[in-house]
Order: sequence, then C-alpha cells, then structure tokens
Amino acid sequence: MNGHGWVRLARWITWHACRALPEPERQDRYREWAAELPEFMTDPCAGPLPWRGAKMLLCALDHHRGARRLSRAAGHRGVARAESAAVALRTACILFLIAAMSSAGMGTNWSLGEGGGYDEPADTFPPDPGRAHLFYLAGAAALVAGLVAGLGWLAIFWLRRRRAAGTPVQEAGS
Amino acid sequence: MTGALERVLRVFLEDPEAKYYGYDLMKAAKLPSGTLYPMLARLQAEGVVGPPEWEAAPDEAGGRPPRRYYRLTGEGARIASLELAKLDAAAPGRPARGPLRPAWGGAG
Repeated sequence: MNGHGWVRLARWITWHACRALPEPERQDRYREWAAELPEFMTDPCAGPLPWRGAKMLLCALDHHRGARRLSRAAGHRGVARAESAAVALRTACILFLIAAMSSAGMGTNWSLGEGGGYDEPADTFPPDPGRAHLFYLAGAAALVAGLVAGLGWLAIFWLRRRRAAGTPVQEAGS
Repeated sequence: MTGALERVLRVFLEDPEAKYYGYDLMKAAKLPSGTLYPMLARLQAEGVVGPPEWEAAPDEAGGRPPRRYYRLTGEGARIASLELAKLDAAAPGRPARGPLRPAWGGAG
C-alpha cells in the first residue's frame, strides 16, 4: 500500500469514527479531520515515512475516542453507545463464525477420517457405524454456531433500526 | 486545570491573534486527537475559543482540502492569561507540564 492508500485507510477510519456524531456535526468534523490527515504524511519534521503513516493511523483511530466524547457532550450518548455495541457485536459475530467454521471443518475432517474410521483401507468399508455420531455432533455444533451468529446479526439489525429511529436521549438532546 | 488544557492555552497565547488548525495544535501541545478536539469544543462552548473558521477559497488552500481554524476570543485570551498567571504564581519556577513521551495518536 502506498502513501495515498494509507491516507485513504485513515480517512475511512475517520469516517467510521464520525458516524458516532450527531448529523449536523458529522459532515463538518469529517471534513476537518480528513483534511488534516495528509499533514502527517507531508510534514518533514514528523520523522521517516513509515513513522508518519503510523502516527496518521493512530490519530485516525483516536478520532473514535474524540467522536465519542463530542457525541456525549452533545447529548448523543444513546446513539454512540448503540453504535459501539453494534461494532463490538459485529466483531464478536465474525470471530464466532470463523471459530465455528474452523471447528466444524476440523470436526468433520476428524469424524470422516480418524474418528469415523473412513481413513481405513477400502476393504474395511463400511466403517464402524457406532462412531458416525461424531459426524452428527460436528454438524450440530456448526448449526448451533450458525444460529448464534444469526441472532447476533439480528441484534445488529435491531440496533441499526433503533439508531435510525432515534433514541430518547437523542430526541431529548435535539 | 489539567496539563492538557494548560498546554493548549499556552500554545494559543504564544500569539493570541494567530489562528491554529488541529494538526498545528496537536503538534505544538503534543496532544492526541481524541483529547484535543473535545477540549476545543468545550473551550468554544465556554467562549474562550471563537467559532472555528473554514479556510476560504480553494486557491488559498493551494490544492489541499480546506482547513478549519481556531482562534482565541478577546475574552478568552484574557481569561487564559489570567489562569496561566495564577498557575505560575502558585508554583514559581515550575516548568510547563508536558508529556514525557509523544502522545498516542498525536502529531508531536
């Protein structure tokens, strides 16, 4: 990724941070913060290029903290909290899905292989049917994981709808 | 008064008529962005800093995106000088509080 790529990434992070702000302030803050990001890359006193890029990204990440504080000060607390919860939940769902797919894959592999006895020589086929339950167990685990992840996505959807509708805190502040 | 606020006010008071943009202040006061902007908003709400002004014309900006500048109000400059003088009087010879290391996410 070249310097422009890093600036684009920092702008995207900044844009994401600005989503926690109330609507009238969001655009102005994004314009202000996004305009300052390239300063990190062009400032010759700020050290070598990788260091400048790292500082720019840290600054963009720290805008999340600034946006939360500004949003709390503007009485936008409920939306900011819902947004943070949605981000945390989304991350948890993604991690959970990855873990579920890995475990289901490994379980299937094991039950079809060593556990299920399917790696035995062809002359022993069919394998021991008493161990086939391992295959179903892995499938059931994957199903439960999928259901939990699905519920997580539904929760995100609900939080987004709540955000779009506005919260009592937001209405009181506006 | 917190050390961060003190540093920002000292930067402003170096030239009370000058206007500063966020990167300038982050660098001079060695503050991270997540601390600086909420503080500027609070100072603005208290009337110490005036409403931020956008850089006017694109040719003035020299092809880069326009910056948003902050400046002390007359009253703000008076209050800031007074508060900093009080601090200096309370602890004479005390160096201005500064970070021991570069601020996380800051420009310094």
